[in-house]
Amino acid sequence: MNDVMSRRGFLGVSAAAIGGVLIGCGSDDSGSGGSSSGDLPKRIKIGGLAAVSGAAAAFGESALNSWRLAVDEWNDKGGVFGDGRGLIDLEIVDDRSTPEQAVEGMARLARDKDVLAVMGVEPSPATLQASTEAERQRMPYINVASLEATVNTRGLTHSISTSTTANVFLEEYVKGMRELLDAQGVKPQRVAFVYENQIVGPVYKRHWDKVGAKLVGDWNVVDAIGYNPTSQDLSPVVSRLKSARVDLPLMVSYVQDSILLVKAMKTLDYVPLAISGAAGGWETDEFADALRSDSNHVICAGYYSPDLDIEETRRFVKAYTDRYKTVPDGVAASAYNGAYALFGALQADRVGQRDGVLDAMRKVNLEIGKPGMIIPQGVKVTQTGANEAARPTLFQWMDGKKQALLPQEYATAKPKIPRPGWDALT
Amino acid sequence: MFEQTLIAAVTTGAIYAVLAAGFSLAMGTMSVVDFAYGTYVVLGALVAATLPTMDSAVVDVVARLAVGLATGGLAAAVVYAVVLLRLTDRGHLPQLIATLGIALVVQGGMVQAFGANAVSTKSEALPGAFRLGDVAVPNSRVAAAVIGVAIVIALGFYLSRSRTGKAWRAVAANPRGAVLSGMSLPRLRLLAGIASGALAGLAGALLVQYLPISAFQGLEYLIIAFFVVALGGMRSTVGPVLAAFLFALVEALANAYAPDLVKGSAVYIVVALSVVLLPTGLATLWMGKERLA
Repeated sequence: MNDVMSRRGFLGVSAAAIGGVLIGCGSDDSGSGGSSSGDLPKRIKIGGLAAVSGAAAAFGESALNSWRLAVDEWNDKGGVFGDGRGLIDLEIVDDRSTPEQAVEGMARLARDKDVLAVMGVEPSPATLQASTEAERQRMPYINVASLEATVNTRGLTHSISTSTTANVFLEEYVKGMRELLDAQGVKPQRVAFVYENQIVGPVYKRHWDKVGAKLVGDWNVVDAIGYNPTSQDLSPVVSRLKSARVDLPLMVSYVQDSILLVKAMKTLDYVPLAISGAAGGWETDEFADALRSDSNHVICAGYYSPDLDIEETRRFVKAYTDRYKTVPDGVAASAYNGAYALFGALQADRVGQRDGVLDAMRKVNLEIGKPGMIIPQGVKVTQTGANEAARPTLFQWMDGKKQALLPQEYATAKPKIPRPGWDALT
Repeated sequence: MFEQTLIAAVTTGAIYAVLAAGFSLAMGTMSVVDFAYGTYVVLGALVAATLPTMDSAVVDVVARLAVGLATGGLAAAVVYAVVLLRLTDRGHLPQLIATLGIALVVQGGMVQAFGANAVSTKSEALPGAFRLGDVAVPNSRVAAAVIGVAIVIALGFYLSRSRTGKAWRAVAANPRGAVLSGMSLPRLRLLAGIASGALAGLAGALLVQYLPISAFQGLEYLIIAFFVVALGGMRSTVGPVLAAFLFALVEALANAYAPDLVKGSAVYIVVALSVVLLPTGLATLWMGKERLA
């Protein structure tokens, strides 16, 4: 008798305990991203993977500033889900500008079950590693700034890019230069592709080899010149351009080398139809600061220009400048764009847990000018996770400020082609 | 293009010679591997760059060089006095580890102080270019190269004629003998360390006249200094200077003519080969292995 009673008693206590646990799980209101479906958490946690230290710290700082601004704007509006629900907590992890730390950072964020998704701003090698780790950890990873094309072409299902790719960047850069020269009735006689051969230049070069001839149409391409970006003197490269009578160099460079190239052009009195460049160096403030008036009329393909004739872009630039006392650069704009795409997706699909994030992101189709969409031409995510809408902006430097040239509908200035001689710039 | 490449090599080589001279002073005198050396270069460059622009070009350049020299010397003084002097007899590995750590800490400090972006001088003290036919070199580079060569020559005279210079050479040749003859090893080593850092800071101040420099470039300049000294001979004073020009020439020619695959690495391949063929450096060619061993 005692055994029967104790067995019944045991079963009864167990049933009560299990029921109690189930009820407890169902009413979780602590903000856990892993809450059961149907419940919208009061707070949601979003991870941010960026370089707080290391060589890419400048980019990391820009991105963090934008993310914090975006988070505060959404929280001030009542959270992602409104009425104080879905208030965003940003959890930042420093990847120290290295792929190894990016992987470690991703793993750390993934271990926190409250983190719904991770936004990332890494240099391309770190982005690739981070996306691989995100796949392993089944963590939604939103690449907001890297142009690395292979993030979304390797069959990874957990990586979404809100930025464009290096291939599109190159294509739009060349097409844009074509458009600008055609508009001025100018045709170059001899075109060269000049690229740094260590960082991202090789990626651009490979794509140039595939599509360059088609992009330039009837332009005469005479050379493709690679150079070491750590070189202390790039005057031989410019000398080669001058000797070959190249009148339109299309350049892909980083910061120091883009500055050295333009300085060498001035020293050697080399005045092509236009000086232009794509990739990391040309659109940075360092470029304009180092060259001062010599940067005038230099045309760059970048993420965006702060003077784009788009109301939402102007609003962002003002908010960022008021808060941080500096004009937002391309990475800042891209990070803001990406954050808004993510928060908007969570809002649209009412997603409060990690599982629904990727599906929500793949539905994103936000045009330029919509809230947070400040970079041409918005965000439209494909099934592979790429953003097929994004396009670079072509702008020119003028007295240390950027002036948007393309897309035409958002332009605020016209280029001067052929560019003035060096003496006319001072 | 070839003439322009040669000129680029000469002007760059002059700066590399200053870099190598400083590194060689520490290595030769104290047999110390100071992996914070590149940091002194960058620190000198960044501090020099932030000086306000002077009205007189000569005063501007001299002031920046003086500040770069003082900054590098002071940084090295602290590192040597606090850390390296205690490690001179402990072998290269502890020195390497300690100075690498210091370099990373100082790099972090520079990022905080100067930002992560590359820094340039606010204006060019010597605008314009020196032209010879189709070849042109910015005046700032010419000035930096001339000053660099003058510094190296002056250092050579100092080493051979001054009391401290001779004492350094004595310490390098035979530390025990130097002690027995009454020289103060710690004092001489500290002075050599400070001079080494000062030369590094000076090189940085020369570079920033025409090149933007960022806080993260310390390793880049350490590698250049290290490989140039390895190429020239660690126990020679003339070898590294000549090696600096050779290094710059190979680098410039590779950048201009070599295939992409080896543009950046060609010069290091050459150094590696030369170390195999001439383990004691280029100086072997005129000094002989025995004197350099």
